[in-house]
Formats: sequence, structure tokens, C-alpha cells
Amino acid sequence: MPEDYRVVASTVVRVAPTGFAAPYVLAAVRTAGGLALGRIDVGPDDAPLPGTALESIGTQDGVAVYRPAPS
Amino acid sequence: VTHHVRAEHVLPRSGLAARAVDGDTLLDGCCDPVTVVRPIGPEVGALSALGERDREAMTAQNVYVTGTAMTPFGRAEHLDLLGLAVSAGRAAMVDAQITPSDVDAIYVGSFLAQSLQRQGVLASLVARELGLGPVPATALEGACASAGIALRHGLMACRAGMARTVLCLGVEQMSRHSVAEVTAGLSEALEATTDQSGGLTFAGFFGLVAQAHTARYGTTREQLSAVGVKNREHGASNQQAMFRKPLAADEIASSRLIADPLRLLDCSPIADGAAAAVVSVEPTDRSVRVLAAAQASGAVALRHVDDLTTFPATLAAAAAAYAEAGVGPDDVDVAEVHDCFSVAEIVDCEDLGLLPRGEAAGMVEAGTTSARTPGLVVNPSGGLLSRGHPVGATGLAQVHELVGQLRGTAPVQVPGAQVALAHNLGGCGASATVTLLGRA
Repeated sequence: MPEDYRVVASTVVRVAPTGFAAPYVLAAVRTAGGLALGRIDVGPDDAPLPGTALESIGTQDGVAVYRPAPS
Repeated sequence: VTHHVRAEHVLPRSGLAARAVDGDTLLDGCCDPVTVVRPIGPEVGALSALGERDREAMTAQNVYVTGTAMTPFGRAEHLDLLGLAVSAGRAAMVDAQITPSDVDAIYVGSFLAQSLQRQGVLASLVARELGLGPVPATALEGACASAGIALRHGLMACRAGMARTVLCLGVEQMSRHSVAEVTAGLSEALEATTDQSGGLTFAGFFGLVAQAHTARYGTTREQLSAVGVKNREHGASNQQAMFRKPLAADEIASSRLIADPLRLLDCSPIADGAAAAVVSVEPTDRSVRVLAAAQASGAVALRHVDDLTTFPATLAAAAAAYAEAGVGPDDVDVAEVHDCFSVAEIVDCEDLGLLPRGEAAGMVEAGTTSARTPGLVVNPSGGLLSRGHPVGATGLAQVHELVGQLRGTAPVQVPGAQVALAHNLGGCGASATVTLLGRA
């Protein structure tokens, strides 16, 4: 059974540090191991709301990347 | 075995400070050359194990803030990092009516001096420039809580009997550097291996806090804006504040998004500035008494966070401070809290027990913490949102404001203020200090 990932909170970072192309969506994701930072592979108008189920699609720069899980 | 030692040590489990001084004969037959003399943590009950002589020694050492000063916050055209520090330090000594030869030690807080100015050994440099002589000079870094930590270390030196008068100072020079350089420097207070590399920013972190607070308590856009409206109104009277123009709620709500839902005017501004306080075991007719000075640490990385709507470091520091002072949040008349972002003031007030959990946003919107209404006033200086946030100086600018409140000379004076609280937060809650002050 795949691990359950859920959005605790998300934000669209619109002013980014050097080396990052804003805007991008970050989330605090509830995982089996606790809270984790995740990149969400959606556009800035589609940032997922708290409680949204996610599926992992890999890692980027050492950070897990997710997208909303199919309902 | 008899130990003759001079040392200070914080017991890791009890949170109690321990002190042994020259000439004391302590702990015969014990392998640990430290004895408990003074509490700084919440477990005051442990004092019952102390002898009467130690308890008397512990309670006898009152410490006072005898002088404070700050430079105007904003863009300092003519003062560099050292110039800002020296300006605030000299003015604080004048306010305390002392000379450099009266100072036994100096503690200097700065977060970005090494990454932006490439300046180490800042404390020694400042001590030399101020003419303090060969006193111990110590630099401290705790991100945005650097000045609060510097103050606490100065107070500890006095309480430990290792100094009679200490200069505590915080300074930052940010505006001469590009936004990219400052952002990179500030990001050093985020955990490097995941949060920095993953593109998290401080605005991004507090954007997550705002959304989590909204999800749990229904915090609204209007309530976030109410924080900025109040603080700009307070700051309008503060000659040393960076922003003195009042703001309307719709101006804040329509400013550009930085990290949803936080907008530009929800964020404290990059600024230059310095603030300083003289602390001493000898009171003066203008001094205020230090009731408590507590510090705690907390999460550095997002993966260390259990709950985005609270900062455990603030909870721990507040509990320790209230226990040490023997007062509670209901006794606080005026507070300067760390509103680095609008949502932070709401969380701070809840963590400090100043407002009920989950109700702070509505109460700020209703004007409960405004100087316009009786009772508790939060951030009468204008807070970080109005005064500006030269990160390493903020904690002592808070104390400067509160000393004015207790002297009855603040620009936005809280009538009859007796107990004042300063709360300084570093990083994403990596460290927090809570200082309680009272009329001498």
C-alpha cells in the first residue's frame, strides 16, 4: 500500500533566492515520518489546500516532489 | 575533595543555572565541581534542595537595565556596521550615565556581519572603538534573536557575579547589499541540506504558518491586515521607526504577493540599525528591574516541526520567564513581540499566553492589543513591521521601547505600565528569548 502523504499547508513562493525560478509551490507535507518540505508539481494557481492527498513523483535538489493524488 | 572553582554551567535536565565562585568551598566529596545557586529555568521546585545561604545569594542579585539607546532604523546612509554599533553603544552609556571604564564586558549580537560584511570578531572591534579597554568581548549569533541572546548573556554575567556592568548591543547593516545577497544571508538561518536547497524562504515558511493557522482557526485576510494597520498606527509616533505612514487594510491586502497568503506589507522590511542596553547590578533612579530573562531553542528544519501554528521555543522561554519572575501573562501591561510577518504576531501572542489560543487574530482585529483601547498593548513601538528589522538589532530595540514604557517616556505610552515583556524569535523558531522587565 503506498504511503499516505497529505498537505498540512502550502504556499506559492513568488520571491525566490538566487538559483530558483519563481513562482513555485512548496508544501509542508505530513508523511509517515512526520512533517517534511515538498515541492508540488502544479502551477501557482493550483496550490493544494490543507488535507489534499499527494503522491510522490521523485526528488529534486534533495527535496521530495509531489503532485495531487488522483481522486 | 574540596573544589575551588569559578564557573557557570546550565544543568541540561533541570534547566537550572549553576554557579561557583572564587573562594567558595563547595560540594565536598562530590565529583561534580558545580553547585546550584540561581534558577533560570522553570523547575524552581528544585531550589528546595538548596541551602539557605545559597538561596539568599540567589535572590539577592537583582539586575537592572540602567540605560538604552537605538539608532534610527531604516537606510543608514552615513554609518557602516561599526559606526551603527558605536553610535548605539555610546548613546546607551550616556543614557546610563556611565563612562567606558565602568563597563566590565560587552556582548554583541549580529546575524549577517560575517556573511554580508565578512567581519568576524565584531565584539572586540566594537569594544576597541568604544574605548572599553581589554574587557571580555563576545559576539553572539542566533539569527533574528541575536540581540535578545546578547542581552541575556549580559544579564547572566551580572547575576553570576562575573561583572557589575555590561554593555549589550545588537547591530545589522543590510541596505548596502542587494536583495539577493541579503536573501542568501538570511537563508543561512534555514536548515541547509533540505530547506535551503529546496527553495524555502522565510516568507515561504511563514506563508505555511499563515495557511496552517487559517486552516485550524479560520484566520482571515482582514485579520492579518489588522496587525499591520495597528503597528503602523503605533509606529507613526516613533521617531526612530523606518515606516511612519499609517496604512489602510486594503493597502496591505492589495500589495504584491510574496509567499501566499503573505503580501509585501505583511513582511518586515530590510533595514540598518543598532540598539544597545547597559545592564548592571547597581540600580539608578532611571533604571528598570529585570524580572526574568529566558532563552530556549526549537526547530531548525521544517522536518523538526510538529505543529506550524506554534513555536515551542517561545512556549519554553515564556514558561521559564514567567516562573522566574513570579508573574503570569495576565500581569503583562505592554509587550514587544517578534512580528517579522503579520501572522507571527498572532502566533506569538498565543504562544506567550497574552491572548487565548485560536482567538488572537480576531482580538487583534477587534483592537484588543491596540493603544487605542485599555489593557494590554502589543508592539507600541510599531513592531518589526513599522520600526524595521535590522535582524541582529531587533531584540534590543524591543528593550529600548519597553524601558521607555516603564520610565513613562515612550512615544505611545501605556498608562501606568508596570510589567513589560520582550519576545525575540530566531530562524523558524530555532531560538527564542523572553525578557520580563518591571519598574525598579
